[in-house]
Formats: sequence, C-alpha cells, structure tokens
Amino acid sequence: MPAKGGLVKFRSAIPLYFLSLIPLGWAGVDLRPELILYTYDSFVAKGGPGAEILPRFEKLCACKVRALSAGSGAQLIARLELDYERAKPTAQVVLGLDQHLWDRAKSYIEPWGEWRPKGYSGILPELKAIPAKEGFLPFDYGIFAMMADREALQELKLSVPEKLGDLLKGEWKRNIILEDPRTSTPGLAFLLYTQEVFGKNVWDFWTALRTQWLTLAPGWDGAYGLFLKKEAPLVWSYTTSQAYHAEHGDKVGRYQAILFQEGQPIQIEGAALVKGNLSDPAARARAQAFLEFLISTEVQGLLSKTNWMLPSVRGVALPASFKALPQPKKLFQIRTRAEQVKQVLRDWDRAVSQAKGSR
Amino acid sequence: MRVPRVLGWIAFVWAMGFVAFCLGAPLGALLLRVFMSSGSHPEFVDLVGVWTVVQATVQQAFWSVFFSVGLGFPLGLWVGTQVSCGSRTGRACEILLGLPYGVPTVVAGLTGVLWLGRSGILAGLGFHSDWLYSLKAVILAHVFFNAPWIALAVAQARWRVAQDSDAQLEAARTLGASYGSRLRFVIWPSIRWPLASQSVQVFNLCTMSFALVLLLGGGPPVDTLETAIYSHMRFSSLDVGGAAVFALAELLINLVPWGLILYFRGRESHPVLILRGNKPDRFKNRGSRASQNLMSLGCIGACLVALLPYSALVWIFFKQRYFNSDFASEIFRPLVLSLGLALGASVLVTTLSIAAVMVGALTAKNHPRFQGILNLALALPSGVSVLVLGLGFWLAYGRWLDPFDGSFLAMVVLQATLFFPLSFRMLWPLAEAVQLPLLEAALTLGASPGRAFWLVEWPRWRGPILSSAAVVAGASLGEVAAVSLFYSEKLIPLPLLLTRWMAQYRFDQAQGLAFLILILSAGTIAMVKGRVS
Repeated sequence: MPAKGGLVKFRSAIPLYFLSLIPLGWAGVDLRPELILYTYDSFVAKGGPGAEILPRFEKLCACKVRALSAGSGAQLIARLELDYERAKPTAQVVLGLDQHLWDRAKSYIEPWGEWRPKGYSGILPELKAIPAKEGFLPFDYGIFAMMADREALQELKLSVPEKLGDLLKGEWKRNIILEDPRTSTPGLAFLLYTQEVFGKNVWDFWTALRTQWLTLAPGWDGAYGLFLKKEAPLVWSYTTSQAYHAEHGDKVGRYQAILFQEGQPIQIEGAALVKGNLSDPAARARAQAFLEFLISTEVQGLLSKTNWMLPSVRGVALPASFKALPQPKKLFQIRTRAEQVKQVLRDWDRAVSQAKGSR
Repeated sequence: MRVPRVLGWIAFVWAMGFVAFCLGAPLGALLLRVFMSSGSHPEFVDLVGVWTVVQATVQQAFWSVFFSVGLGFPLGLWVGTQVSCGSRTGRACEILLGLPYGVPTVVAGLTGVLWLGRSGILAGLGFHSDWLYSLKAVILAHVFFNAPWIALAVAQARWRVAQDSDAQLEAARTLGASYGSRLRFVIWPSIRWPLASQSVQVFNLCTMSFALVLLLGGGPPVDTLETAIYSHMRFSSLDVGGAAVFALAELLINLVPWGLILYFRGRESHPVLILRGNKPDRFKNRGSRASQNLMSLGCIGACLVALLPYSALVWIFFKQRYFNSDFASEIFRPLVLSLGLALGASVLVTTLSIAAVMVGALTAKNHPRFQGILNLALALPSGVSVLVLGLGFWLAYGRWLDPFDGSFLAMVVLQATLFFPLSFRMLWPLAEAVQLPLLEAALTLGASPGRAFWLVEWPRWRGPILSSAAVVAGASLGEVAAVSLFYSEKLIPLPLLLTRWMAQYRFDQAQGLAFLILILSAGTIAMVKGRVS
C-alpha cells in the first residue's frame, strides 16, 4: 500500500529532520566573547552613533557588543546602583555619564590607576577637569547655548541678547523657552551656569527671570518642539542645533546659536569601566580596548552627524556645518557634587516657587 | 446568597494577591529602603518647600475638578435625561464621552499648544490670549480630559435611576413635583455617589499629572508633586527618602477624599445591596419626535465638543502626510508591542476587578467594616505615584527581574496596577445591584452557580466589563510612565518611540505618531463600546 509506505517514510523522516536542525542551531549560537555596555537611549536608537560604532568594534575585537540602553544618563546611574545593591554587576563599560553625574557614579566605577587609554593625550585639555585616574573618559561634548529663530526675532523686532543679563530686559518677557532644572539636564546646566556667572546674586537673577520665560519644559525635546512651533524666538539648547538645521535645509541661517559674552557651559559625555565585572583579564582588555576605540579618529569622526555633539579629540575632520558654528570666548566646565546639586535645586525652588508676585 | 465558597475564595485570593504583590511588596521595599538608607536624612526635606508644592498641586487639582464637575454634571444629567440608555444616540454619547480618556497626555499637551499657542489656530484667527503656559491652560486641558468622564458617570447613573426608580419618578411627576424636587429627592440620591467617586478619581489623576503641568503650566509656581518626586530620583543620589516624603504627601492628598467618601457612605442607612428585578428601561418619550431628534442632536453635539481640541491634530496629520513605507516599517514592532500590552493590561485589570467586585459583593452583607477596608486598600493605587510604584517594583523584584533588560510582564503588571482603580470603580455599581431574587430562584430550580450567574447576571455585567476593558486598553496605548521603567531596545512601545523621535529632532514624525496613538486608543474605546452597546 503506497499510501501507508509514504506515511512510514514521513514518520521516520521527522527525527532526521530535527537531528539535522541541531548543527544549524549550533551554528546560530554566537560563541564570540561578549562586551556588555550600558548606555543611553539615543546612542543605540536607529540613526544614533551606536549603529555605526558597535559593528566596527565587533569586527575589530572579534567579540560581540551587547548594548543595554537605560533611558537617560541619570537612569544609567540608577542601573549601576541597582546592580550594586543586587551584587550582580552586568556591564563592563558604561557610556553616557556627564560631569554632573560623575560624583554619583564614581563609587560604581573602576579607577584606571596607572593605565591610560591610547590616544588620551589627544583629548582637548578643557575636557579633562576630572582627573584621569578616577576613570572618566571624555567621549564627546556639547556647548549649551540659546538657539534663536531669526525670522521670529525680526517679526517681533527683537535684537539678539549679548549677555546673560540681557534676558531680563522687558522685551524678552515671555519670549524665552527654558527646561526645568529638576527634570532636565540642559535645564540643570543652565541653572549651574547662571550660578557661576552671577555668584551670590544668582537668586535675584532667577526671581527676575520668572517673568521672562514662557515655560519651563520638562525636557529638551519638549522645549525644542515648542521653539520649532514658533512659540518663542529663543530656546536653551546646544550650539550643534544650528548645525542640525544647516544639514537639514536651513540655507539662510534662520536658526542660529547665540553666544553670551560671559561664555558658555559645556556638557561632557564620558565612558568608564564598571567595577565588579572585570576580574577576567580578557574581559578587562576588551573593555579597555573599547574605551580606546571610542577616542580613535575613526569613531570621533562619526559623532558629529550621528550624535550631534562635538568630538573630544583634537584634529578630527568636521562637516562644514560644524565648522560654521560660533566659537565661545570662554567655556564653563561646571562639575558638581550630588549634595551640591540637591542644595542648588532646593535654593532654586525657594527663589522661584516661593517668590511673591505672579508671572 | 449561595455562591460557592470556592469561587469566593478564589476571588479573594486573586484580589488580595494583587494588593500584596503589586502594592504591598513594592511600597514595603521602598519603606525599608527609606529606613535602611543612610543617604536619606530627613534634614534634606524642606517642609516649606513640600508645603508650597502641595498647595500648588491641590489648587490645580481642585480647580480642575471644580470645572470638570461644573461642566460634566449638567452635561451628564442632560444626556441621561434626554437620551434613552439603549438608543442609538445614547450609545453614541456613551462612546463620545468615553473617548477622551484614551488620549495620551503628550497628545493633550500638543493639542493645547496647537490651539492656544502663539502660532496656534486661535491666534491665526485673531484671538490672542495669554492662557497658555499658566495655571489656566493646565486646568483647561484637565477639564477637556475629565469633564466628559464625569458626564459619562452621571449619565450612566441617571440611566440607572430611570431603570430602578422609574415608579418613584412617575409618582413624583404625577403629584406635581417640580424638576428641582425630583432631582433633589429621587435622582440626586442615586447620582451623588457615582459623581463623588468619579470626582475623586479625577482629583487623583490631576494631582498626579506631570507632563501636562510642566508643558502647559509655564513652570513654578504652577507645580506638581510628581516633579519633586522625579527630581529626587533623577539628580540626587537616588534619594528615596526625599522622594518618599513627597510620595507620602501625594498618597495622603489622594486617599483622604476616598476615605471621606467611604466614611459618609458607610453612615448611610440604606443597604448597600439593592434588590432589584429585571425591569426594562422604560424611558419615557416626552415631546414631539422633531423635538426629540433635536435634543438627540444637541446631546451628540455637546459630547463632540469634548473632542474638539483633537480635531486640530487630525487636520495637521492629513496636511503633512506622514504615512510612508519608512514610517510604517519603523512603527511596526512598537505597534505590535503596544497592542499586546493593551490587551494584557486590560485582561489582567478586568479579571482583577471582577474578583475584587465579587469579594466586595460577598462581604457587603456580613462584613461591612471589612468591605470598607477592602475598598480603601483597592483605592490605594489611585494615590501612589507611578514613579514611586515603579521604583518599588525595582527594589522588590529586582533580584528576579532586571528592569533594564526589558520586561513585558512588568509593564503589564505595572499598568494593571495603575488602571485597576478605574476599572474597579466602573464595575462596582454592578456589585451594588446584584439580582439576588433571580439568582436564588435559578439556584433553587437546580441551576449550577455558574449557569445561574451566566443566565441572570452576565447580561448585566458584559457591557460594563467590556467597556472597562476597552478604556483600560485605550489608556494603556498612550501610557508612558510605567512603560518607560521596564522597556528595552527590543521592547519599545509607541509612546516611547514618540519621545525618542522628539529627542532626535524628528518632531514632525512624532506629531504623526501622536495622531496614530490617539486614533488607536480612542478607536479601541469607540469600537468596543460600540459593539457592547
């Protein structure tokens, strides 16, 4: 009976079929050693720098890089803290901490000791405020600045502010969009910058500034979205926003970064080795190689258009839009301790929330 | 009632298990952390600062509720009086009033700017106002969100009056009672508790409003406790102690109104269980057919006003033409995940709510005090910040659950915890009107408990259960806070994709995605409610 014979053949073929899958499955298992990286969202997102950088490093080290994103830089610390509490370190490298978060992160970071990544000497000196032995590798940086919509300025007959104090002039009333320092890194950077500039008088400045801002957005994205909707002609952002617009069709220079006479604060993004998961010398070597790779000319050249930040290493070729960015006279590299940030936010809250009079 | 003990116990274990695992353990872990942590010295807590934020939060929430009730109550009463419960207009009103709940906050914020902004629609028409970026804008946005919700509760309660107290209404009318008297003595007693309950729910939502307050409020003094909680977790060294103080203030603010409702309700002399027969909805036609039609149109028009702000988004969406193959391929995975999340959350919430309602119904007669405690325990999630709850989840279950590896299950559970009180409040009226005589009769005639429930109670439960599931699914599609705590690169739902696009200067596409989320969440509610009705 051919039909039954066919069925028997089919049945006997089933185990063979599954046996044949074993080598295929085995071939699918990635046996390469692994480097685990904690980083922020936009690094690994589509179009972010991770998509360019990580495959190149995987090729170089013959290893697999597993990038685990944890929201923002601040959430990276929460992740390190939780790993520490659970006594279950996962990553070997963390990427995306900035100078404001460093004080909090330090206890979870492996200090470098005598070791220095190859190419470390090429990093811009103004980015090296954190001593190298602590283990912070400046990876890229951004210069905070007011972005102006020149078209809107013309419509409202406003002149570009030249110094920070100009923001208090009557013409700027409800014409500035800022970020809330309690919820946003650029917002906190603006607050610390004003503190550096005005010193003891900072709270007078902020009390007066209450009438000037249109809103304190919860984050940079919300603030910038309002700015692009022409809600106000000025927004606190990065100088590289100008480069972004230039690269995306702004031929007439409608969106421009405004620099103040006092100078501009910067945000330094860094990478570091994570304590607790580097006992294997091979794993340590891979992690160190990754740090060195981050400051290589190859990677630094990719950052401008993928991360919209500036390279931390000298002599890296930049696109024309970046070369056209205004150069600040002075950079504020503000480094704070966690307790200090708490105190500043508390004082800010008092100055702004508890001040008398309506906006 | 001879409901089998096993069924009652299963419901009890399920409901209490939820309270223990989703609330007790996370909040307990947080408290433990506060007491164990050396970094949370109480001297950091600036009581004047706490008081200022509490004042700002309560002020904002109070006015939001005040105006939401001011608009929602008469609208609900009008719809409930003029439109019959089962009619086509009644169904349409029910759907329209339920839709705003599915609107994600980020979309609500965006529409606020589109209408009231300096380059917004009203400004384009020559109406310039300084409302945006002030307390008024926050209240307005909250009112558009919540007034329909209040109106829906009132309309549904009014429909129940038409079913349960029709004879009383008729008698009052025949005896010459004015509308005011009928409202005061017949309608109001049945409407006041659903109205109070919904108002407290709205108050809770407003006190925990975060993005909307920050975006539209213009910064301090318009403030919210959530901002303070967020900043303590973000910039300070995971200052759980500081965050806990604000979280406790928030919990108290939110639970006190629930406590008051339970207290005053408990003092009422009438029994909690209302024995009612299976009377049809005998809605009386008043006036000519033409005037009836006019009233129906008026009701639908009034309900549509609540959706007016979002029409701007529709117009912009079609003007910009966002949909292309890139857009579709990029949103595909997040869309599937969001739909799965909505389904999971609504199933979990609904089963929990049914269990909780059953426990409430079973204990109402014999243990009224226990029922009060149960009600308060089940109202707890209304008062707990999602940030605090999320951190509690991390601390309690972090040993087994790596939050940063992404966890679909954790997202579902956290969302279920958030939306549970909403569903519970929607289903609770069912427990208060169990048809005991019919159930007893069915059991006496030999029907199994399951069959008796299926035949007697299920037709009444089906609608509210599916409605609550739809509302939870709609709300889940736009929810961003809970999912942002347990996502990973492979698990990115639509609202997170939206925030990510905004961070990448992709504002136009983000706007398109916001519209899609709005359509999905509101569409889910409309579709299910339409079928149910």
